[in-house]
Amino acid sequence: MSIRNLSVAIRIGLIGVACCGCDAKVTRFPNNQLYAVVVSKREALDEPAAIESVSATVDLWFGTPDQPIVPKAAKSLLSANEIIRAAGPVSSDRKGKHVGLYREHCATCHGIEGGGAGPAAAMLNPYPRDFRHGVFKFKSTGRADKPTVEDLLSLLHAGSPGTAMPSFATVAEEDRKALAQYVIYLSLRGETERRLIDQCATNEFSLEELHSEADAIVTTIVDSWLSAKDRVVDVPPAPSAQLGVDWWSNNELVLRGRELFHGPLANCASCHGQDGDGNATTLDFDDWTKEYTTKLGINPDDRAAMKPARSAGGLKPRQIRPRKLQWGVFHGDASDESLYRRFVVGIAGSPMPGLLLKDKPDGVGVSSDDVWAIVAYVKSLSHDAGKRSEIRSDSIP
Amino acid sequence: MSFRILSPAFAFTACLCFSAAHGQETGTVKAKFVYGGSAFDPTAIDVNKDVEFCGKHKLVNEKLLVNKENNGIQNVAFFVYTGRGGSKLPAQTARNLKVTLANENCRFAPRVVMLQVGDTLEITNPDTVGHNANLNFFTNTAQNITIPPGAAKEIKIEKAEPGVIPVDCNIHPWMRAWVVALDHPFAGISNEDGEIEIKGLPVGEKLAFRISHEAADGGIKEVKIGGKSETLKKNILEVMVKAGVNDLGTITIPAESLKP
Repeated sequence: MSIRNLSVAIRIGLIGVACCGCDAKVTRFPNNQLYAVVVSKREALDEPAAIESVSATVDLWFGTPDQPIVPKAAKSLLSANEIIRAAGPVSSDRKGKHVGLYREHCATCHGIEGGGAGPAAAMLNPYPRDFRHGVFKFKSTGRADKPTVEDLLSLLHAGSPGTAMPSFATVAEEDRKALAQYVIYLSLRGETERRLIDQCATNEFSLEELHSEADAIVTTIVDSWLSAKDRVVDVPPAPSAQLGVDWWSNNELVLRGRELFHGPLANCASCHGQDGDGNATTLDFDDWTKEYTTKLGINPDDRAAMKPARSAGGLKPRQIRPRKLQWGVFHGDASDESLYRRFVVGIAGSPMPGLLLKDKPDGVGVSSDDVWAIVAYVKSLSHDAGKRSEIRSDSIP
Repeated sequence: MSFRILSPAFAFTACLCFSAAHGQETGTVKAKFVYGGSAFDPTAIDVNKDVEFCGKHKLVNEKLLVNKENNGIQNVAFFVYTGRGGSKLPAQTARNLKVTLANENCRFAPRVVMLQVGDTLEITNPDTVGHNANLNFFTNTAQNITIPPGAAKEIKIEKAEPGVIPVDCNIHPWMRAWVVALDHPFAGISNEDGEIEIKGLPVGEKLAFRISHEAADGGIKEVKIGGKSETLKKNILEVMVKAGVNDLGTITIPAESLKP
């Protein structure tokens, strides 16, 4: 390496240290260039949608990564003290109480603004969640609903098996609570920014109108977070009363579940494969990726068409593959209740649809008993290898 | 003139008088969209799911369908645009129509669905294989539901959508439909000859019509109307709507603006 090259390398290295250090001052949240590209494409604009006035408004409402602000309309949802403690550079006081929790535990993967494209993101599969859409996969609520705070806390506690999201059970409970608050803050901020970009692309606003629009948007999103606890999807009791604690290993129930799994009413096998072997042919992406590809009519393999989105920070599209259920590893919470809910409502942001649930079996939908039978069958695929091979020897309906 | 003949004539005259008295003259816009290149056969789809049922329907890629006889482009959505720089329309009464989108023969029919706020989208499945409908709404509640054979699911359209919304069946990845949800009824989808007709338009003002086609990959910068070039901004064509029929003639979309 010549001296000149060496000096360039050192300079690049120094810039890198200055920018990436945990103590580096972060004066502003990066704005959502990617969504500006999406909107300009959708609206057939010649230039990326103008986002400077949106960014300025969002900064006024939400502050900066070092000095966050809880907007007035969000005071009933977010505690300013918790947000301030979770934000900013990492440090701790004499008693060992940590501040800067988000940068300590989350930003490397989820990014400083919660855009899901932190420095480690490109290496992970699935990619870390982009909170700015306000869409969360694993929760106790309906498909289009926000998760409850408890849902976020339980995900932080248990992690998401089969993904890079680890368990934060060793982090103090109060820290986890502050982190859940900060995730909601980033999601609220990001969703507000997105909706303002939408609004500004299709309407002309004075500054005053833009500000009142921002207030209205924040209020609507805050309401959706506050009402999440009322939107928890009811789960009828599992058949454990009749069949005991290991109800799900009941052979009759498993066989019924298997028939539904492979049949037209639930139709699980068409994506998850025969016996949930994950070998069915699928070609699909998650909704975060689809937003800047197929939803705009762009083929994810078309490098030229993908360039604007990729340059604006969009991660390389990566196929989403239906879970191989025989592994017995379920993203998010793997409890019986959680499996029941995800069969009934589907998984937000993913191609997984919800079943057509009917009060009584009517030949075109499934009943809650049917759903429990599918839960039993799916659990049996990994819990009891002996039973599985016994079942597999039968012909598939 | 017998009474029987008199009666329809009277009704017609009465109708005219009523419209005139209430200033309810409206305009109809007609146009024919044609492809600027040579027509081509759509490519066959590699049916790799439910082959026994879906494989027998000779499915083709319907992204861009050009009529070989007259170069007409099917499935162009042409509608009054009310967003930024668009038209201001008076508030419209809801039609409360039920519009069906069928998962039929392993394809969505129709390919493009026009809805007005208040309408109900009914998704059906007359096939013998299971489908799902992933509705990627922006403003209405995004949904993804399984539609077993013989089942139907109704979805009320509560808000207008800012763009044309893709609908997928994730089980059969080649299946795609589009939903246009507006707060007014002034929209048309071109038929297999590329023709559209939009009735009941307010007259005496310029209206902004957006031209949208899934193969347009976002922008259509230029069209030829009756052979004359017209530059478009945001895919919008301005039309001065007069009472009666306003025939725009042939609107040619250059081949390079459309990717099959």
